[in-house]
Amino acid sequence: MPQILVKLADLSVSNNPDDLLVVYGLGSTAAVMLYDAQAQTGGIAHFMLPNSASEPQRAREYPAMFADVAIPLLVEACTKKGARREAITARLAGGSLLMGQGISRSISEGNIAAARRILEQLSIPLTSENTGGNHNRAVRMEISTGKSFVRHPDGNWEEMA
Amino acid sequence: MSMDSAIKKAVNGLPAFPATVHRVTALINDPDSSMAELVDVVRLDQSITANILRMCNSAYFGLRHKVDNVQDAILYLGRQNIVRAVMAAGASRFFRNTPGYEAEAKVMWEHAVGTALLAQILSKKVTGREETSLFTAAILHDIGKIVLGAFVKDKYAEIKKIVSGESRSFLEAEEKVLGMNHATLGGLIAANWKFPEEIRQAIAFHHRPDRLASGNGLMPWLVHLADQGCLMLGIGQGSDGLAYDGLDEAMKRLGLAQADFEAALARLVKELDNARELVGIVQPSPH
Repeated sequence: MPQILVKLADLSVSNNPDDLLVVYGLGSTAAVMLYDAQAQTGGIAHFMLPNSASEPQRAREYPAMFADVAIPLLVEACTKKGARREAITARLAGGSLLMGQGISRSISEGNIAAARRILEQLSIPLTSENTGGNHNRAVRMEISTGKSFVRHPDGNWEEMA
Repeated sequence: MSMDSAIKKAVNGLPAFPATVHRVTALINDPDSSMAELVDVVRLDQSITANILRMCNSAYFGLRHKVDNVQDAILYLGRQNIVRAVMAAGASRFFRNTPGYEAEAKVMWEHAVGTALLAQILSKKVTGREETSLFTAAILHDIGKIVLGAFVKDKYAEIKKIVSGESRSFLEAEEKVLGMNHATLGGLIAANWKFPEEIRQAIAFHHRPDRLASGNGLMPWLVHLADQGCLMLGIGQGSDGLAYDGLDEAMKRLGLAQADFEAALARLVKELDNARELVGIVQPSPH
């Protein structure tokens, strides 16, 4: 199965049932995974900060860096590939916390809160979340089925609901 | 053999830090040195020469000319960048797959480079300067893991139990189980390698800059914060993950606001893109 790596501050969309989208290195960053089952089309955005307001130039250069730009852009990219806007559902993973650091907490929790808020504004149902904790994650999504998995610190992959 | 002496023996078994790097640093700091001397010193080390040629055309160094020989590289890089390039080229040879931390050489190296770039971005914001000694300390901050990894691997279950069961940082668990943590050990390695005290301390105290007397400057704090920034972005993750006790006072000590830190993280992504060749000098190891 061809693996497509979704890098930090990037997004990727596919309607090729052979593809597997993968994100490694989710720390305080987060991944939103969108999928339309009937169209067999989906995508992942790997963003690192909640809000682009103070960094407009960077957001033009790296649109997927910020939740508020990345998520609407991902929706648009999915519909361009054939997903139906009203049939898209979302999953969310990431937002780990560094122990004891306020700055990490505000970025991690900010990323998760921003993703929830933006998905709600876009009326996209959030069906599953795997967030928080002190550990890194990886996620992957099969384009043929939409099945999504999250990797635990022990190396095992667990399917997300 | 006790754990402590076994670890110290492993440190003494590490090869010396390439003399070329120290000689280049000394020449750069000597106003009477000539370009020809620098070229001669660099050429003595074939691996450093090869690495410099591989990475000097990286957008990070901002050269306008395509460079294919050491003389031109040194001519165009400028003094500060020569030290960075030679330091990166010399340090990279020590990065290898590190069991215990479950990190591949390439991942360890990417974290080292990321931390060095972010430390410099933060330093520029805080002091207006980018110092090459900070680059050195940051790129070597986790060098202790290279040696400690094998010992961590042997006691992994015990260390993990303390991290998850007692909610302690991985560093504290290392100290509790092995009697030594990778930061302190890194300081010892840097001492063996004859680095100046400022760099040794920034390495040894990169998790706990608050344990240093106040007169020690900002370097340990910059490395501390840059290290965390990279872990938050997943740049170089290992088994220790985010079980890292970040000090809230770091931002205050450095006079940074949250927006400054976020802007620095955003900039780091751009700089890492520019520094692909620098990151690429350590290749994935075969499994």
